[in-house]
Amino acid sequence: MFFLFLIYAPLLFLVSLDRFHDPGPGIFGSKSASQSLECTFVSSENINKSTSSSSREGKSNFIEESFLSCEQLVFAPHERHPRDERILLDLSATTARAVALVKDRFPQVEKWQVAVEYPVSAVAVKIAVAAQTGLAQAQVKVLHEVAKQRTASLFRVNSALSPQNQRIQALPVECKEAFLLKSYSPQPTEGLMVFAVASSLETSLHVGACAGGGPLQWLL
Amino acid sequence: MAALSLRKLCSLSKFTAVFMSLLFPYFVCAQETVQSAEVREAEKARLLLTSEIQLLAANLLDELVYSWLKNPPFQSPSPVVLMGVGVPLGMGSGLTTFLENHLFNLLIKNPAAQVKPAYCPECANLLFVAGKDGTFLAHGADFPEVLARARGNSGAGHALYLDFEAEGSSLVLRAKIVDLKGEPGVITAAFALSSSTSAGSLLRSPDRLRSVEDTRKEYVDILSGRSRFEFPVRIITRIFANPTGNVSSPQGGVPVTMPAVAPFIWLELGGEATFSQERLWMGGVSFGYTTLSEAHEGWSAGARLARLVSGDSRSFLHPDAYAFFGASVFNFSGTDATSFQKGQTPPPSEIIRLAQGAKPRASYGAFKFGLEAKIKNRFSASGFAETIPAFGNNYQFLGEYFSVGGFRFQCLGLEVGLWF
Repeated sequence: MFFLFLIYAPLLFLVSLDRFHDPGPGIFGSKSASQSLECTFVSSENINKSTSSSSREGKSNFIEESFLSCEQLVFAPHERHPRDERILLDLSATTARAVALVKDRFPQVEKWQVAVEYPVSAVAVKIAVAAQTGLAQAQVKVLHEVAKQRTASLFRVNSALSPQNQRIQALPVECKEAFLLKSYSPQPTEGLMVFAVASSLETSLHVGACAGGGPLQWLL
Repeated sequence: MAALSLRKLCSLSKFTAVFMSLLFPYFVCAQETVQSAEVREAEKARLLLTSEIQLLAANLLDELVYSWLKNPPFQSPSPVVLMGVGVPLGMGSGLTTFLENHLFNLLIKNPAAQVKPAYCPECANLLFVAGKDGTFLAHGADFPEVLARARGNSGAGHALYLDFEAEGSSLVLRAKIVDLKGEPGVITAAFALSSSTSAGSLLRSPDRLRSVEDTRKEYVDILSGRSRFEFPVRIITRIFANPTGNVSSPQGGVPVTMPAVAPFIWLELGGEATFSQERLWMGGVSFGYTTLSEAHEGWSAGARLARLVSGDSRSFLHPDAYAFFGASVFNFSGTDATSFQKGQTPPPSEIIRLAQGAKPRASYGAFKFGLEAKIKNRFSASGFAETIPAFGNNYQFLGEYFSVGGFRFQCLGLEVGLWF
């Protein structure tokens, strides 16, 4: 009997570990496996309401009553360019914020067009599609055609400063110039939404907008 | 021929290679270079990734068409040109073809969505278009001139653009419908769906699409209906190692060779429990019975802990592998018990019992380590090695198969199980 007790006690302890499986690296999980998870804290109340059914790891805390909900990244780290991956990770959130801002700042605009200045054209298309979809879902009229790229950058590095203090400066651009269409004169009710990175090393998108003949205003 | 066999073994999974290495310490995949192993692993990862994205993307298309069934984008059936499917950055055009075919299949089988697919091969081609603002190279779909041509060719009044992108752990589908007739180039409807809030694979039947809520309810019902307790019935064969040497009787005389112990066949009933639906860990107890004519008759009781080693959660579809550790006590009587009586002088009560014609009796405790394969959550098969610590190095009534860290493994076993 004592022999069986000696076996049961550690068994119960080890089996209970399954209840609180830690998604972090450890005996049963490698560092690379943990890095390919996207984890967020969710309260126990919200996790019951969640419609997501693919949570595969969880860790609970008896006191705070919250769960660490983790999901597998679609692409493991380093499978895509880190800058592109970072931009795409927040694409939905960035475009949603940008749409809300332009609707607030330019209520007179009835028709929008989107332009994207990004070093990789494939990613630029993704950004444009996300912005157009966001605008259309916000009941704003938007043109499918993406505005043609400017040949000159919208930003410049202020080289007057020392290398340690160099700042990237947004250039003053008129809306007509930003559209870059010689044959096109934007009406006051026509707007342009611009997504751009200031340098090829930057990992967040800047959002600007303008309407008619006004200047390009940077919102994000 | 030998090299061919070894190459075949080396091409098996990593799990098999580790298992072979444990059984045969000199098993080495000499032909496989590190480079080829890396290429093989990369190919495997790519295949897995593609299949997962295909399923996610197909689910999102199912959900898109389902939303059109509930709220059609057009009042009446309208021909729509599919202008292209953008796949996640880094994926190939094979996925595009798969998704196009899947969407066409869905739209044909769900005419109530009011979207009639129209064919427009030139829309996807790369074209040079010269105009007032310069000459551009782009897909035909991106030029109003080509849009106009598409309208002429197919009679379509609208164009549909789809784009899939991976954002962290989610796959996002963005769809936009562009007007070709009334106000050319204006997006008339847009949809964004994310796999993080989409339905699971139960939407996959193209002719029986269902809502996310219904699917989730059924999914949860299935999961909650899967009990955390399972009851296995196992038939176990234990094969003991032959004795290693000759044994002298306590009174001296000619040494005699100890006979080999016949295999024991046990019928074992048990109960196992897990604390999560992933079933990474399983723990349980079992009780067994064995009988073989005059040779032995007895009972056993044991406990075991098993850890899933073939993935992160138990699969509904594929076999799963568990590594397990267990401990058991055995008590039995019969002629076979003489091999388990530790070679010691029996106590007076046992001598009296034997003098009265009773059968010899033995009991011992053992630890076992093994691997178990579970199929369809119903069947299992496993192999294990068992050590009996009480029978140490000087015990000659039982031999050993191998020893690890001072523990002699005197028994190998096979189990087949049926789970309820």
